[in-house]
Amino acid sequence: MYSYPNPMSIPSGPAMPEAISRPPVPDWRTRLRAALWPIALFIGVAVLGLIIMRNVSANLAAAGMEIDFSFLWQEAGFDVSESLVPYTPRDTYARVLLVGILNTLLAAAIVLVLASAIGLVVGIAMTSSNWLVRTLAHAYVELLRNLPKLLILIALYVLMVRGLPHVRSAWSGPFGAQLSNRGLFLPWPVVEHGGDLLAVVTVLWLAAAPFWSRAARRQQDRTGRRPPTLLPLLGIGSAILAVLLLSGMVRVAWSFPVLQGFNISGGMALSLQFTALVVALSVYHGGQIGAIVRGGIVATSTGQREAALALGLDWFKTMRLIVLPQALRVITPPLGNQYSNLLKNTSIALAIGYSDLLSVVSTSINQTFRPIELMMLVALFFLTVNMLISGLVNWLDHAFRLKGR
Amino acid sequence: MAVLAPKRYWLRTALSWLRVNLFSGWWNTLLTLATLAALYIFVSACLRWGVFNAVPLSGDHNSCLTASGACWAFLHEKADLILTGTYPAPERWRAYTATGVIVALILIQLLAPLRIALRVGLLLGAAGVSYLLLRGGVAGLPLVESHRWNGLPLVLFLSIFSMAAAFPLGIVLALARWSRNRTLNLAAIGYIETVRAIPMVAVLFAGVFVLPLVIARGAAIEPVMAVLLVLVLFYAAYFAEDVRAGLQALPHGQVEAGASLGLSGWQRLRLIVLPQALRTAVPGLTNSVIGSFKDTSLVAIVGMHDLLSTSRMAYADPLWQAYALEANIAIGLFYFLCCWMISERGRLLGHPVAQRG
Repeated sequence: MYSYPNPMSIPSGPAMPEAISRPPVPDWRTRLRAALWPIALFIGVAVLGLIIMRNVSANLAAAGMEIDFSFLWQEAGFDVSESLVPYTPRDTYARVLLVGILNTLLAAAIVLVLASAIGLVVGIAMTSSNWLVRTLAHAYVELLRNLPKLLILIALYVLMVRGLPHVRSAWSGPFGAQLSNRGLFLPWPVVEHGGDLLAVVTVLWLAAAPFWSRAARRQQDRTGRRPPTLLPLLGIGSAILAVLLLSGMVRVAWSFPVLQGFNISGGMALSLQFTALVVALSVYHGGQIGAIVRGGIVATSTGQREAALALGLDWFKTMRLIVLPQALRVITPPLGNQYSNLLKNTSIALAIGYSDLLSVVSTSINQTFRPIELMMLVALFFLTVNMLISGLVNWLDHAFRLKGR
Repeated sequence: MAVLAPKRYWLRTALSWLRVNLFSGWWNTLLTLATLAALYIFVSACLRWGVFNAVPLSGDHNSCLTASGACWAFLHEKADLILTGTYPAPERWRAYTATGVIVALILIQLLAPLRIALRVGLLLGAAGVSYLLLRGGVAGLPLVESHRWNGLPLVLFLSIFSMAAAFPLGIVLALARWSRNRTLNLAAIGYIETVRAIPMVAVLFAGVFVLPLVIARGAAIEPVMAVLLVLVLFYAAYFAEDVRAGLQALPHGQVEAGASLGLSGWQRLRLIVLPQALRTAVPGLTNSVIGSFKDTSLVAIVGMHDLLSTSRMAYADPLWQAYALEANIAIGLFYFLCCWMISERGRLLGHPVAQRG
């Protein structure tokens, strides 16, 4: 009978040749060749950098200038279309850049919410069993994929400027909202007193939410029955709000837009430029996010959906509990990419005169002629925000990843 | 069943299709009816505005004043302005010829099976011919300043030649990022990630304002060329990411098999790595080409008069002020058709049967 050799006895046998068990050591020629490209690249980049620096300093010296950021503390002298912080033309360039950054972030934040909502609806519609709805959603995505965003923005803006009525005959919506060629005016709550108390209570309420949902999760793990989370939270929140309002500790009044002379005062004023930018970018990115959401839904296996339906879950619960959580895992990276694109795309606001970062930078360049310094600041801002977004996406990607047992 | 008349068969199929796809339950029925109603209102309004109450291309200004619908006559009246902008009127034929040269180049590249060297040669030739045609100053053609190159020739010149130059640069960047060499790797990652983090408008600003400071003192760079250069540098980073996705999908055994066959590094790249990686990258590259073509319209923001800008000139005319929407729809149609053709071509390219084309 054949006996298998004892594995332990192999070392005593003929040794394997060294050359096979260990990768060959490259000789100096190969190593030199491997090092040649990086060295050439390094020298090339260094030479290019030196030439650029020499040219820049020669060009600046000819104009009697040098790289210098102290202009940031000079008076800017130009006005902006709108601002989140108090600003007058007598403020400094640093301040006007801050105004631009805040305007960019505000527009991006609102577009992010609206575009995600549109994208979710369109993405679900694209996977609908209804042929008509599905086809229309596909047509929407395909149309927006093939149109430049600047065209959408300019067409919308020109249409709004020309087509909307004068302030005196503004279109009024529910609750006193008004739309005219001056912009969109919305009713807005104004806290008359007790604002600090309201802020503290709101923060406490928000902080309690994760604890509540964790407790609910524990309850579910123990008993298999998940207690409702959203409704009690909202109920408690509105109950507290009602108590505060009724007891008179907090007083909130609504400010309604009212026509006074040739202008509208009161309420929340959104300029026409801002409204056009937000609507155009939301519609544009809504289509792209829709395609991403559709990809995520299609990627979850049909068996999952069928199993959920077989368990008796209705369509809404199937989507919310089974399909979308799994789709979220797939769509997080492309969605993060979209959000970073959306932030960058707010810079087309320059074409219609909304004072975003690049638009105030453009005016500042024309006034100070300091393109290098200003472009460095712009690049720094976008690099930082982009890094934050991609860090967040990586963290979420990690958090959503299927955990193996 | 056996007595079913054959000519009724299609009706049954159609009815069952309708039941499954449009009326499967009360919710779907409601959805279908609501969508149909909305669609009817929208489409009928569009048709009334754009067809029934509209003034056709051959109309005149007076009939536009009385018509309640679109005024397509505006497009006919302003065709030269929208297509070529402020290009001097007696020299317009040059702008149209340059457009024709670029379109012919695209058609030849897409349809004719050519060798790579010939393709590159054709591309360079077309670039030179269209540049000289637009610029003039040779062969008795009067010189036309680059800020008067407007409209369609500008859009095609910038987008086609910037993408053509960005593609090889993108491949080089992707290979550098893919390589195991740390220096190359870091340089490529730094470049690609920086460029991709910055909005294109900012990059265009840098091209218009910073680039003239970077070149040697005394030398001047035309704004069109500065924009072309930054577009190349910008698009290359996006193409590089698509190519990298293709490279990452390539099993490493392929490279090792090539090495064991005794192929040199360059041969492995040319014969094994790139053909497979580029084929995998086709869908991503198609998307990027569409995105780049659309984004070339952003040059309007830095004062290049592309189609968006020339159409703005057209409806800035007080006589034709009311017809901005018509111009925007025409431009939108142009972009839609171009992008749609690009994506169809990309789909064909990704299809294994069409590989030989």
